[in-house]
Amino acid sequence: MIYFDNAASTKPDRDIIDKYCEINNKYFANPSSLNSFSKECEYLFNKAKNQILNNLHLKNYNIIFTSGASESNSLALIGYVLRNLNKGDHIIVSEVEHASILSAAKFLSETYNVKVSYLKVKSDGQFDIEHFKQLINEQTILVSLMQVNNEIGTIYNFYDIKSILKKYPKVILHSDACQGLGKVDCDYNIFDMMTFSAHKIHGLKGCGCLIFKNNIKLNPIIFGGNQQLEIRSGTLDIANAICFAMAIRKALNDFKINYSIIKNIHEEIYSYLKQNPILYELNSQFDDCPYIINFSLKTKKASVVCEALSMKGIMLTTVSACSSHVDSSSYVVKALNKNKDIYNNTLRISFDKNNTIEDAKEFINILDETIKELKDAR
Amino acid sequence: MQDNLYLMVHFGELNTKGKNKKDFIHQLAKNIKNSLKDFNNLYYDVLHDHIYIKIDETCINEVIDILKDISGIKKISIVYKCQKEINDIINNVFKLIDDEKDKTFKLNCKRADKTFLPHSDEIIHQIATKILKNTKLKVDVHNPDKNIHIEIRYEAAYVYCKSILGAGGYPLGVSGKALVMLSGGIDSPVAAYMMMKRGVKIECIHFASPPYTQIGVIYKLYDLLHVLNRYQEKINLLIVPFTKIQDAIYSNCPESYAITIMRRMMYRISEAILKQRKCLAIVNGESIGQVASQTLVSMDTINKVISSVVIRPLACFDKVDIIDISKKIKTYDVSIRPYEDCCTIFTPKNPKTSPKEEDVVPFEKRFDYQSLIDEAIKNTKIETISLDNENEF
Repeated sequence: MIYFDNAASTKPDRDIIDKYCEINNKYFANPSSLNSFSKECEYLFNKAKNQILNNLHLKNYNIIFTSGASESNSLALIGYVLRNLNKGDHIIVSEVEHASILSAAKFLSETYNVKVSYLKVKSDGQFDIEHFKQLINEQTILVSLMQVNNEIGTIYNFYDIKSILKKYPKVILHSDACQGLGKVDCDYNIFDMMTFSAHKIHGLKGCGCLIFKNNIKLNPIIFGGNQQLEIRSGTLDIANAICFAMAIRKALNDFKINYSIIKNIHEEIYSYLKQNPILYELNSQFDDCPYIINFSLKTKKASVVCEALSMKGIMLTTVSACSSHVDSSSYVVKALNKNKDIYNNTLRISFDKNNTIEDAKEFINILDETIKELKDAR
Repeated sequence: MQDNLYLMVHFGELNTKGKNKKDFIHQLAKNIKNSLKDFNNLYYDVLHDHIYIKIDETCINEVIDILKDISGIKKISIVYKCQKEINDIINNVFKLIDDEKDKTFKLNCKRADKTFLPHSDEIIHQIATKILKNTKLKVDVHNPDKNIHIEIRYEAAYVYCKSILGAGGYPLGVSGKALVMLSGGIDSPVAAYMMMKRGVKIECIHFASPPYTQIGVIYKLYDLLHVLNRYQEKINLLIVPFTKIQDAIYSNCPESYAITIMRRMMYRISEAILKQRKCLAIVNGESIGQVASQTLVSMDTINKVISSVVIRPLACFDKVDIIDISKKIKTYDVSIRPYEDCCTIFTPKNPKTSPKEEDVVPFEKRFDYQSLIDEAIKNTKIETISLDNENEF
């Protein structure tokens, strides 16, 4: 099997799974209890927190562990806006955000009358800065923009955004940074709040975090025993915290080695797709995050090719649900101003350190052969 | 605890079935016992006119819920069995009455054992007198709070006031076995249900055309059949690899006739498998006029390739009515899950709504479909779907 769906989820590293079992075996106490065993567990939990912040070079930030990126994103938007409505009632998100951001923004707008603006992207995928200037105003309290796009791999440039935000000191900048961690170089200090997820970097599913500056106040969206700064109740999960810290440490340490492997794979496939403009249209730019390539099929139906490739052992995705019954179009590719046939027939391939250049070559051969074999079912 | 509490199972159309009745009752009893095999405190009395199940109050609702779905049962009454003696009957009638809640009552008496005296009218008179004397209840023959039935049968007398409607139809297994063409949409599971309700055991045939249809659709079929396992414990699913035939049709035939020819191929394969599996009829979810391949002309042209009986239980149903049944039998939520099936992906823009056989045959002659069909039949996989493994991973 060639697994090219790593933007959806990566294979957990063996040592991380082992560590998870080991910690659960040894340190099973509830860290919030008062006995000495619990205190030992709490110590390890805090150690994991500090290790993550140190590895990301973040000082004066807090970290809260969550069930994953969707919860972190929901907490960032809903928790922040509900706590800070006295400062203003307007937020800006980009139109290409992950569903968890878009849905949380929709919830705020429908339930709390929060005004939501959707920032456009240009045909190269980058945020439209002129549009951003028009949207931001004195009522704006939060801007949430992703660091790397999960569907097409755009690495967003925050330089202009940051310089505009200097004129609006009360605006908080949140970023869903799941797809960039360990994959593109970034100084995370540019963000006031940020979301990460463990299973995108060979950690375990069911674990994410929200990191935010010390002075930021959030309302909880999950209630209970007031753990984690009274913002995120629920028994502290030491094993997940430690494994997440381990996954981040590994991802950052191995960044350069991994990047060079992936870059080769990326170049091989990207240049093949670019050489065949009759069959394929690239939706990703060459300089985008090399871990993701998004392209559209010009002659075949994407869901059929996806199925055919999976029968041949190649796992990838059409980005959205493979179906003719539901809206199968990619809103991200649509936002690039492409036509219907293009945004309805996208395929996304996404790589990780376990892939090889041989995988890339085999993928090219099989894709080529599959496109020739299949009937034109559009 | 009431030790004379029973469920009285009334038969559906069995009463009209003359000398086959014994076999039918035997089959129904077998089906009931099988469905209730997890309850070990039930005792069965299988008689000529009813089946009685001795039961205790703790599991009565659960048992009735299961009985409601078993075909061949018209209704289920919750009865007290009494001695054929007027005082015991009266004592048990009083168990049915709640002097606080009930304001009115009505009595009905049926005397299957004509040798029993007094007559029905006199029985009613005696019991009514007792009730009127000892409670605040009054008689109301039109809209009573308690409609009390007294049945004097040969072996005993029974009193009851509560009956629950059953599924009707015939006991599963008495009407042979049919092969249902199962796509995964809304209609075909409903057609399958209607056959089972009529006493026909089913096997299902599915045409898989990966990659044009998705592997995931098979998991959807498992879930659909798990829902239908409520009516038939084990259902065989035959999965026919259909991709090569699809490909050949689209390479050799014009697009507007593709669906007609595809359906003709499916019918040919179904008939061959029907013979292998010793089924007696082909069943599908076709409804007249619903799509181009389901006009009468289309059906005629498609049907001509085989001689077996084809039953279309939904032929005259409107889509909304089919949807209502699928919601009732709980297949709807599974059916609407988004997957491409064999009919949706190659849908031509202008399919022929009245394809004639003489137009179609020349196109079919363009390729050796028989050897493709033989190959598909040879590579058909059979799986048995049951609820046995439901709690395992």
